[in-house]
Amino acid sequence: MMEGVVELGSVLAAPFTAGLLVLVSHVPLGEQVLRRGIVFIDLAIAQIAALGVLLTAGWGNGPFSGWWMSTAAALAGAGLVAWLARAWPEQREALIGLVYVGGAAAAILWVSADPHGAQKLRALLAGDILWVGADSLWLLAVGTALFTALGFRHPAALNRDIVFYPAFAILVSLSVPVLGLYLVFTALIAPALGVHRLRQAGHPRARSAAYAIGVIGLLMGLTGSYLLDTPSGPAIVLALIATAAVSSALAAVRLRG
Amino acid sequence: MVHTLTDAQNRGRGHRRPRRWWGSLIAAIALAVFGGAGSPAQARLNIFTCEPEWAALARDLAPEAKIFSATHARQDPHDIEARPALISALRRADLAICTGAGLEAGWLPMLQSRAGNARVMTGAAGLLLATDALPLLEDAHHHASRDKGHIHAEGNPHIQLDPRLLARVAARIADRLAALDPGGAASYRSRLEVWLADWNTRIEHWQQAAKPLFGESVIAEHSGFAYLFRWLELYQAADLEPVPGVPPTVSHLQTLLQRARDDPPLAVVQALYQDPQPGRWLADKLAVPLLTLPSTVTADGSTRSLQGLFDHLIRTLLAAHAQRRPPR
Repeated sequence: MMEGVVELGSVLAAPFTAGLLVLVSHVPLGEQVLRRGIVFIDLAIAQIAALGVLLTAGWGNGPFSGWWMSTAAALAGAGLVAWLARAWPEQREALIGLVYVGGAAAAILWVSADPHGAQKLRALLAGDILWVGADSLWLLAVGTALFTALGFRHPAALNRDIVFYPAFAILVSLSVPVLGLYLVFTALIAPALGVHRLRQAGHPRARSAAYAIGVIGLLMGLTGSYLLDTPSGPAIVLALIATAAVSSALAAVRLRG
Repeated sequence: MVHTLTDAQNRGRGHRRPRRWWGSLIAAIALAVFGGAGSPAQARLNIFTCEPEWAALARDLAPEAKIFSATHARQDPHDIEARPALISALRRADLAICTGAGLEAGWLPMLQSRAGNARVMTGAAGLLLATDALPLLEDAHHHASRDKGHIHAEGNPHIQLDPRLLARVAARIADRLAALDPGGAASYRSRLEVWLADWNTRIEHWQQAAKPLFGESVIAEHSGFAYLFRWLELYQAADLEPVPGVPPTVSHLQTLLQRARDDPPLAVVQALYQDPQPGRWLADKLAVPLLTLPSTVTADGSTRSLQGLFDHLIRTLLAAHAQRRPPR
């Protein structure tokens, strides 16, 4: 029995750490996304960051070789989305949707002549969180540390567009090559949505509960993928969604009772 | 899990402490883990194989070993998704048998580094690459350059469908097993002898049976069957892939159709894991059968052994040959 636990721990420690690192910044960012009502924006910006990663894939080795290019692409994408949101506030969600689909289509065209194209596309979408090693995490760790420091010094800074959009673009573009677009999007939205009712009711522990949802979803997804022998990224996505749904229901019961 | 949640929730409500039920949930997960992952290994050797054909060989030569195959016949061995079980299986392995020649270049190095098992690192005695020291076909696999769609610089790695090469790999596996497990050396060697005697008889039988196929042409997707065709002296007239690894495109299929119309092949051949649509389109246009063949042993059915696999491949090709329409 102990053997099994040690085994599980040693296999899953690295991906668990990577997931935690992403949660640290994405839970507060997700609250902002929900507060601003711009849910599709993450998908769009992450997709453009992914496109940037693909475009620069041949320029070096390692998951972060093209990080500055994907970050630049994500910043440009965030700028585009912010501008669209101001210029046509009524059609904002529709335009962001088109930015997402346009980015996805461009990515498919770009890799269509590449024998490893399907692999690269899938890795960016579903992510290979299991392959994560310490060397591919340090840049994300630095970004997260800076973001957290900013949050402590100026808690209200994220409310300003000029801080939120660049911070969002940079962190998302650093997370996507490591965890994949689906998992990054879920880490952003699911915990924030799971505590939506608590936050609306002004519950002081809403943020902690959001982190708890993230950690539990991550643990359940990783453990489930270990026990059922399935790819880990999609398993964590589903576990996060389930955890958020259950938490939301529990919160509703508690608030009523 | 549902019960645990409900109980925990009731308790949590009584104390008005939201963290209580999170704790119970974590305990429930931990319990699931303890229950599921703690199965002790009793087999003498743990063998990890990248592809199922090597698992089948290992099973014949070391039936008492615990064998884990990373891929199955319906998966493309060039590209697999990371699953936790892969890491723990390779971590436990005493011997890893892979094809090599770049076939697993997209995932094996990462798997080796995450597993951190010194016994199966590149260069260690516990890693056996089947294509090492074998003469590989130098087809399109070899000639295209990396940006133009190259997967394997070392030559065509899909050797498993030439039974003569399999015999050589079997001998190397038996040697390696004997080196890693000296106590069982004699039994590995004697099993190999029995296996080879049976296998060589089968090879002769297969070659006799496949005589009518001699000189026939086929169109196939990727060069996964190239060694089978070479052995049976069939001729692969064209590849559905414009460049190895790049999925068939419309213009490439049109070109193939134009070229093959006057002299249609025996069949269009695809592997189980490939998208059947391009092959079906071309086969329909040429009015020849589309053969979806296993390129390795399958999980069940008659093709779950290597012997059954070759029986099936030759029988299917012969059936296509027998049904062929007379030339117009």
